[in-house]
Order: sequence, then structure tokens, then C-alpha cells
Amino acid sequence: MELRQLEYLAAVVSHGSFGRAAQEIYVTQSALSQQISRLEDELGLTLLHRGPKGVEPTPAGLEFLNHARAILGRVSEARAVVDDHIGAIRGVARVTATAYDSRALPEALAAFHRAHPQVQLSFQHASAPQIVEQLATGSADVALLAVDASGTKLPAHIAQLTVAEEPLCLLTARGDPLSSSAVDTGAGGLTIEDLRGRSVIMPGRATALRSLLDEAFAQVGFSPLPRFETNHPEMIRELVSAGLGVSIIPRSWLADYGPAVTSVELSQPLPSYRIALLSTTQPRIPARDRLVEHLRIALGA
Amino acid sequence: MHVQSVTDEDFAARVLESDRPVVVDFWAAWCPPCRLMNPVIEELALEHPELAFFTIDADANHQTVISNSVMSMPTFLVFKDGREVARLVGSRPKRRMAAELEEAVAHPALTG
Repeated sequence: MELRQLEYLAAVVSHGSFGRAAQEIYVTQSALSQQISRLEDELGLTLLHRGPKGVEPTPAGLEFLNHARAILGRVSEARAVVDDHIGAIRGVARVTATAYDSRALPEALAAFHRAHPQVQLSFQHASAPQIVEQLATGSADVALLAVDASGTKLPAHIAQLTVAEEPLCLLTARGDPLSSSAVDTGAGGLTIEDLRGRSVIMPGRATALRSLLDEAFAQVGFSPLPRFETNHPEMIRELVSAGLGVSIIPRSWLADYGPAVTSVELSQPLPSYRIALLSTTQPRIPARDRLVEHLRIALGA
Repeated sequence: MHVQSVTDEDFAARVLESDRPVVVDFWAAWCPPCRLMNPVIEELALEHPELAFFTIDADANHQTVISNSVMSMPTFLVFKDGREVARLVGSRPKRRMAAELEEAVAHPALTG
């Protein structure tokens, strides 16, 4: 029995498929499948059931897997202890974030890479539900994600740290009577009630920003028809600039490159937009922990 | 009178050509304020036989939504003689809704 066979087994079960597991751990699918067959031959039973809906552990496989995961956890802790002695940080840190919340990452990751060139960093964009899933299954280590007030559901072993909390503002096309009137009357008086009957560019479903807005609109008694929906902040701005509707965005997005638009403060503030730095906690991974510490400082938590 | 639903197909015949003033409730299944207004509309329909009440599912009838420039759910349009005379956007208490409908029918203003 070899450690990598246990690693492969755990990866295949986490991802539910040989193909995705192979991609994730950077081996070919045939090598993966060969090693698991060898392990099954050696144990003399089937660990994985290859069904039409994907790969699932057999009852014996599941029990074996629990032990395998415990062994892998201990091995990684043993490595960490040794790394502490030689003062080196190496290993892999896999980062994920939504397109909404990743704007501050490139610079922070680059600085980390300069400080710790031995750590293999990777980054992936994903949707909020995918990110929670990746952290839960251990296929990502660190994530930046907006979490809504009603509480994005996170597994217990995920650590959460607020890194940004900012107000939302109204975005309109230049010359939109709505914002001109607000400016004339001294930048105030506008609330989301004034968007009744207006076309509103909406954030994509399953984003914290969308839940926040859905909730806020429902409270004042209407819901905008989501005719334009996008998960890309730059697209929200382009749609607004093109005159297809108004929108509501976190204020820091105004600093992004993009076509000219007008922003207006809302006189009755909405709940603030909160971005959390999420990370797995088990097993102990020094590269991840160092990265979390770095991001916490770099992102201003 | 009970509230009936209309679609893109029969909107013109049942709403625009109605001989009574008509209230059309544009709603969507995903819209929480729309759900609040369902019982209100049902009660108003019973109490106001001089008005015809219709509902239209905005997700299934894009043509009517677009041709009436409806952007928010719920939107209540009041038609008299085939012309829009009032536009009420968003949920509201029943008493206020009743007053606004009576005002719209008594003193129609073109809004559409």
C-alpha cells in the first residue's frame, strides 16, 4: 500500500469522478485509475463503484476512506512539523474567489509569491456555491467571498474573517434624470424606492449581492424584473453606461476601469457588502496558514 | 367576481376591449411582495364588481410585459376604454389600494 494510492482514492471520492480528480492533483486519469485498481487488488475487494452517475465508494470503500483520510491528515501534520524546524514554507495553496470579490487578489498573491517562492499558488474563479463546495471537500484552501447577512451556510471547519465591509451605492448612466435630481438637491433624498418601475441591472443569482438586493427590494414592496443579470462587475457598469438600466454596487467598484457612469449615495443606506476571507482549518497546512495571514494583512482585515 | 388570469394571447380581447374598467396585476412566482398582494386582489375583486380584475404571469407573457413597459413586480395597471389610466408599482395596504383604484376610475389620467 502506498500513500499516493490513498491520496488518489480520497481525491476521486471528493470529486466524484476520475477525470476531475486527475485534473485536480495533476496526474493522468490512467495513472489514477491504475493505482486505485492496484490498491483494490491488494485489498481483495472493490473500493469504488463506477456507476452511470459517477464514482461512489462501496460500504467497504467508505470505511477504508475514513482511515485513509486520517492517515493523510497525520502525514501532512508530520510534514508541517518538519517544515517548521527548517523554517521553510512549501506546498500548495489553492485560492478561489468570485469575479465580484477577486479584484484585490492579484497584487496580494504576487507579493506572497515573492515572499514564499516555494509555495505553489493556484487561483480559480468560481460561483459562490461552488466555492463553499470546494472548501467543504478540500479542493480549495482559501477563498474570498461576499457573505450575506442572513448567513451563507458554511461547514463548521471553515474559518471566516471579514476583510472588507463597504456601503452600496446607486449607479446610473450619465445624465440620467434620477441622479441629476439627486445631485441638484444636494446628493440625497434617493432611496431604492425611487427605482420603482425602473429597469434595474441585477447581480447574478446565487451571489451575496443579489440576496442582499432581493431582500432590500422586497422590504420596500417590489422586486425589479431581472431582465439583465450578470456575474461580471464590468458588465454591470457597461449595461448601466449604455442606458439599459440602473444598478446598485459596492462603492469600491467605482474605482475599476470602465465607461463613464454616475454614482449616487443612497439616503437610506442598505446593509453593507461584506467580503470574508474563508479558509479550511483541517488538516494543518503551513502554506495555507501563511497565505491566510498574508491576505489578512494585505486585504486590510 | 373572481380574479382570472390573462396571457399574451387574450390580453387585447379581455383587457383592452373590456366594457368595464380593468385592473391587471403583473406578478411573478419569485417575487415575495407579489405573494403578499394575492389575497388583497382577491378581496378587492369581490368588493368591486364594477371593476374587472385580471392577473398576468410576467415570466410567461413577455410580450405584454414589454409592450406595457413593466419593470417591477408587482405592477398594477388600470385600463379604461383600452387606455392605461393608472400605474401602481409595488405592494401596498388594501385600503390604500382601494382608494387609488377608485381615484383612477373616477379621475382617469393617462399614464402609459
